[in-house]
Amino acid sequence: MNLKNLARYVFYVGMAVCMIGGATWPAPQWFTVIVGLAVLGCGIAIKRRADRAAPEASEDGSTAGTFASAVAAMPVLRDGLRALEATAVEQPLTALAQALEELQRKGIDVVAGAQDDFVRLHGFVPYAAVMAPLATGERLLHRAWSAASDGHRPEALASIRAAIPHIASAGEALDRVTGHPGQTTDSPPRA
Amino acid sequence: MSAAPMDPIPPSSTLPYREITVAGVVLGVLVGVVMTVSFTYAGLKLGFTVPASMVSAMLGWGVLRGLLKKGSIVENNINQTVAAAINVSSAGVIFTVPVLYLINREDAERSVAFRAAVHRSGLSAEDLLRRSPGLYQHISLHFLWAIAASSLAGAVLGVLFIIPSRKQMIDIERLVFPSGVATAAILKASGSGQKRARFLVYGILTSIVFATIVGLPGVFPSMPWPAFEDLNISHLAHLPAWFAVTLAISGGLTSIGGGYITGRAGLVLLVGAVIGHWIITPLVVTRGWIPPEALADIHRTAALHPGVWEQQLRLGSWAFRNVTRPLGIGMLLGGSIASVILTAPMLFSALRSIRQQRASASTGPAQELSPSLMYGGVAAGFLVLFAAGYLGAPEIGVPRIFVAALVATVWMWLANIIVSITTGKTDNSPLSGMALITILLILTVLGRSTGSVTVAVLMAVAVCVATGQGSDMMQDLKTGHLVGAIPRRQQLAQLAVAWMGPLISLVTLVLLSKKFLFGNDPLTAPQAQAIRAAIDVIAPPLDADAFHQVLAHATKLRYLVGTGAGLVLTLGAGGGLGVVLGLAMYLPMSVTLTYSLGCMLNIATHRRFGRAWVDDVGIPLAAGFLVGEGLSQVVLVGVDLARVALHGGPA
Repeated sequence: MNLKNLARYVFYVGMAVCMIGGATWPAPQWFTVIVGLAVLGCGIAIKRRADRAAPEASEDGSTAGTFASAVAAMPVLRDGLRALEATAVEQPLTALAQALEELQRKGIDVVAGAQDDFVRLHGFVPYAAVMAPLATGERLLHRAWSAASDGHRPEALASIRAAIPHIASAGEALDRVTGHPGQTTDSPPRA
Repeated sequence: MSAAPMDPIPPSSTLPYREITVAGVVLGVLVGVVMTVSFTYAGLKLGFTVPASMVSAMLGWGVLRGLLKKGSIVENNINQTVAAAINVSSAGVIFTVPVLYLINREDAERSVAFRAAVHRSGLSAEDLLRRSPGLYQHISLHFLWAIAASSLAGAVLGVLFIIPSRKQMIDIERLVFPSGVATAAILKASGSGQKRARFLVYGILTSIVFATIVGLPGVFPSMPWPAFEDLNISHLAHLPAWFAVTLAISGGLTSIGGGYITGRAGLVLLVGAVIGHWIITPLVVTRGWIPPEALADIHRTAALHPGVWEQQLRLGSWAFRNVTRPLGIGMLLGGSIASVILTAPMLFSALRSIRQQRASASTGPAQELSPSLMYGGVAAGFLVLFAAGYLGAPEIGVPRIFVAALVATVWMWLANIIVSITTGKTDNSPLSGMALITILLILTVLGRSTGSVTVAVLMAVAVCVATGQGSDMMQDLKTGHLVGAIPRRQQLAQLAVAWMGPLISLVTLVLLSKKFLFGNDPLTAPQAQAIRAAIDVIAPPLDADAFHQVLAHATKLRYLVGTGAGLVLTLGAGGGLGVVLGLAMYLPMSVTLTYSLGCMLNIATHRRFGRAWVDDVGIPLAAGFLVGEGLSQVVLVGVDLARVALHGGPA
């Protein structure tokens, strides 16, 4: 059993003990409640240790859900979006909607799917710094999809263009987290 | 990806992209008004309401695109936002306002005039009440103004308080909001490919047939099959009744659909239910933690319905109501306080970013409502809430009513976050639990008296309406995110019509009070009855006996233990764990187990058929289950209302 799962089970046991202590009549058994809180404390300690430990490989050996997958997906998203913008004027709207779905699946979903690993490695604030602009870009891409499905090309194009700076901003925030400018954006490497 | 469009995409347009339009708003208002009237009646009868989002999104396609030939996805999204904003208040009103009717009726029953009327009529007290409910179930006009003011304040504050949390809950934490996802599936059906649309329709049809078969005996008792509520596996497996193993039949497909859309993450709910229903409740019954006075009462009532099963059922019910549920409510509270502490930097950052977005002209139109409008609205809402308290019980005095309104407003903000988190993670909203905590808080501040109970219930009305509005706003914003709507437009649409729902629901309630006796068949008002009973438990009257005083003290301590555990658990484990586990202890087992079944089906189909199958078949089917049950309930309530109008009298 890995540490993360162990922490989870310890939390459940601690909570159950606390609740049993609180269920007695006419007043809670405070000793049992405190034991339960102590078990919860053990769970917190195990979880912290698990958070510090190296990422565990998934059963199938894939990187899905890992921070590395998010770092790899960001250029796919950024480059794909730029390429889509360049060709969107001429593409049939059906193909445009399909291309937007691909960007969602291969780019945004992969970055968002790495939430747990991202937060574990770098904390919540850096994760939020990436996700806030990324989610705004995502919403604009959804709008582009809706407009394309409704047959409204001008709105679809405007929404794709509006999404680009937000996605770029998310990429820059991810660069700051990795400490490797240029890894996730197309800006030239710094000297 | 699958997406070959269902219909040929219409030709490209040079007109502005339709979003907020007269057609979309008017359609939303019409659907919202009809559903509010219907579900004020249905909610009093059944104890739950159905959100208007999915129903109005379905109708939206028919009217906006089918009849008017020009609807867009985001326009239909505004239509469903408006309809839901009106309809959602009915839950807040019917869970709390009948409490005031019940209290007034109890006062009337104790009066000399009533006893004299019983004597004169030669009827039993209950028969007299049933014959003239309007006479003894009366609320004066000025007091109705107080209720209206309270619910209006709740509607506005509920929307305003939740707006700064959008970025955190939807953009960053990416909470699921299953009903929001289901509504988005309907809105996007035309462009999502034939396969998804087909399975959405299959889900809707299956759910309509199932819910109609289950619900018809409730409207027509002469149907040849009985009314099914739950499938009681404990009974079938000869387990004790207090060891609850039940699956929901009425509302079952909604729970399965919600669980399926949530997936693996929703299974935490099952852990909390196991602790609550399979550990705590059985321990309370078997270890002698039920007080002798309560046991004597249970044995007395069980004598009317003899049998071991009936007695076990009552023991389990007492343990759930008085022990498991208060512990769960406490955990909800503690978990939510911890969540707020953990996410406070994000909330402030969201407020800052809203201000910056407003100030910057280069980023195009503002995406969120202006902070000054939010702050002004909150101040106005607080003043209206204070006025409601003063109108309801001026004898309490201005300073104490001011404090009560202040406490209620601060608690409303926190309760809004609690309900939005639980809705986002599990699709369940513990509205009546939040109303109960409001009453506890206000009565703790004011002490128990006739006037303070009135003020407490008025504040509970506001909190209940506010939490409904807040969680609905979040569901709608999630839908909006998935279809690319501009949040500010949705927020404006919701604010513009949020005031309508409480007033329509209140007028409907007053009309129903003239014909039906609340708390009696057919309008049993289960939540209101539970809140009424809980008031005496958490704040017993001054002349209450020693047992009820001890029970009140024990209940408060259980809230405290739950709060402590929820606080430590969520601060240590994060992810709102305490909130979800607390919710599981608060909900009936039938709901949690059925919901968990949906989560397990998601995991099983994911393993067996892969992610693409879940996306293209499973999720549309699950969304269809949610939609179909809602549609079926609307039709059944319409039929029931027509039947009552034609023939009168209870079902």
